[in-house]
Amino acid sequence: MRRLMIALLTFVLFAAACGGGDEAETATEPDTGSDDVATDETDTTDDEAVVEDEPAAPAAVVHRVPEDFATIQAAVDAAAPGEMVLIGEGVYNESVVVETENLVIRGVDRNKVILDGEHSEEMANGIIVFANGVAVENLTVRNYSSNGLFFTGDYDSDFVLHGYRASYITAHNNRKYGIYAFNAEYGVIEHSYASGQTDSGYYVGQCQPCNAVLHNNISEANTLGYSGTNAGGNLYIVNNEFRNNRAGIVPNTLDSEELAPQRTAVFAGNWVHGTGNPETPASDNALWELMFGIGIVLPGANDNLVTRNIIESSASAGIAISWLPDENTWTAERNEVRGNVFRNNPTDAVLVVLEGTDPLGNCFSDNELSSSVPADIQTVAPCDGAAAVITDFAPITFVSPPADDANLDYTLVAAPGDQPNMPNALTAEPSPANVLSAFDSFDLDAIELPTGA
Amino acid sequence: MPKKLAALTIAGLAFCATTACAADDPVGLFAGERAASTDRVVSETEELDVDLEAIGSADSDPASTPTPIDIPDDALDLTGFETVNIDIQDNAFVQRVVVVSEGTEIIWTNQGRNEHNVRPAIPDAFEPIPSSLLASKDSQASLQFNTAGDYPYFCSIHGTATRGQTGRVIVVD
Repeated sequence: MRRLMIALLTFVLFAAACGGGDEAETATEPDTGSDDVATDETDTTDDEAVVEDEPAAPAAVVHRVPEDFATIQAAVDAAAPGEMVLIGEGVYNESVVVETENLVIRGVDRNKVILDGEHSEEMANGIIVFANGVAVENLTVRNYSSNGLFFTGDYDSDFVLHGYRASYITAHNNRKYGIYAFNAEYGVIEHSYASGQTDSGYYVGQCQPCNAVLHNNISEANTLGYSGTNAGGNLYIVNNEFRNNRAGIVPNTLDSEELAPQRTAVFAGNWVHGTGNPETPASDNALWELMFGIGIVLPGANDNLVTRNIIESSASAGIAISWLPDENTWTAERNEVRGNVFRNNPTDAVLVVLEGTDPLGNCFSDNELSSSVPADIQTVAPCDGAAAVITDFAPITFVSPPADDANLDYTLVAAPGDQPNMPNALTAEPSPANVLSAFDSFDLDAIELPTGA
Repeated sequence: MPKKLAALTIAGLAFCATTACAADDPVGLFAGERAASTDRVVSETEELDVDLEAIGSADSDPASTPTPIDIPDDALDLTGFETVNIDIQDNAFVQRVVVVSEGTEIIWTNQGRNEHNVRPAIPDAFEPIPSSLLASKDSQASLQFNTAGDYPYFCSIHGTATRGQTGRVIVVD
């Protein structure tokens, strides 16, 4: 068994010097934070770990919307680092820009605090965050013409965003991505739900190392459940459910972003099912349509670990590892597929190498699977032994995506029902994303096969 | 559910990697993608006549000579060209600051997988290019800059007037 330890804290803890304000009040209870991902609290010896050398920050200032400020943007602009914007029930037709570090933006009720872009071109993003350490919690972002919640570095100034968290977010019917982290490191996306996006429910792009964890999320009826372009390095996609998407989990390499090729991510404990749902919106990007019906696809992806997932009821295949043509041609190499359960897929596992007969270090061991191309893939390309020459050229039957005129418009994907609220949303002490102590270490051994299957 | 035989074979992919994959010969998972990438969409060229007096003049005396434009060290001097190309990646304008001559046509080409747009950071400085014209890889849109001045711009999807995906066209006479 391997044990992977990651340290997700290199932040200097923010010693909040929270000033008072006429329009603010304070929260009173400690935040339980991100504490339900496998961690090893006993090992704090990693070089990257940061010792908390400051006492707990004082109770934060809270700016209420609409009581103190009519708009979320006004409250965000008024808040100082370490403070919280607490949003009351209502529908807010805003596109919020965040440029202040270490804020917490929280809704009082995930299902009743709704940022709605009304599909307007003028409201591209529900919330776009350009600042380190911002946490967004317990609200819904819907109907934006591009993205629901977007954390991004500033490409032009070489600013890589450092520290982000999305917790208990519902992102639906946004045209591109539900929750989007780009050029950003040290992040957590958790307990969130994303549906009806024409690219992916969750996207992590252009980071190496990403130092990020996506856990306990649901992704449903998107073009892709998860997409991760050129993203890897301490990147853990664990304990999530990807259901009824066109394609499920898709780490990938593209020339259109920096840091290619994609490499070194972990996909563990996920339940991927119902992939190849025609009642979903299609992407403008024809590339993704070629992956229709595949639970986990690793196109041009390298050095990833896929383990202890259940992949079932896919329309085309459970997992496919393949090369990918872009401006460059990207091979897929040294991916390890171990200990997964494949059920009820037309083909459980597919390995497509660019040329020749060498599996390029891609390997399959200890999986429960019944069909593969090449045949008997765990013998042909084992993880613990010498690879054989691939001689099986059997064709595969893939399910085609719907014709263009049959695709579901993203605005018409059914809105989700109510999702679970963040515990103690009204009283929990705000915890900006510069304090991610629960992820000081990550115990991959603790990740098990999902139980929801 | 409709089905097709994708004819995914190792041999087919090897063929695809070394030759141009015909669109009607779908060998391999990505054969169609490669063929499609050669297609280009060229948008209409728009001509603009921008009033420099209206640009960035809030702090200047209208009767005096316009404030000299601060040209950053990393600006690309592309004066003397009739057309100048600016590539767009996800999510950046690759040639972020360009210096061009009056009358130059700027052509933006989306080399990314995301859609982008071009909006003036100074309201009404020029007609925005909507994301519908730069929606897909290899799509292009252009503007002609006929009047000297400083034209900062941004993509409103991936930036603001001052943050994220920003660029500048500096037009000199």
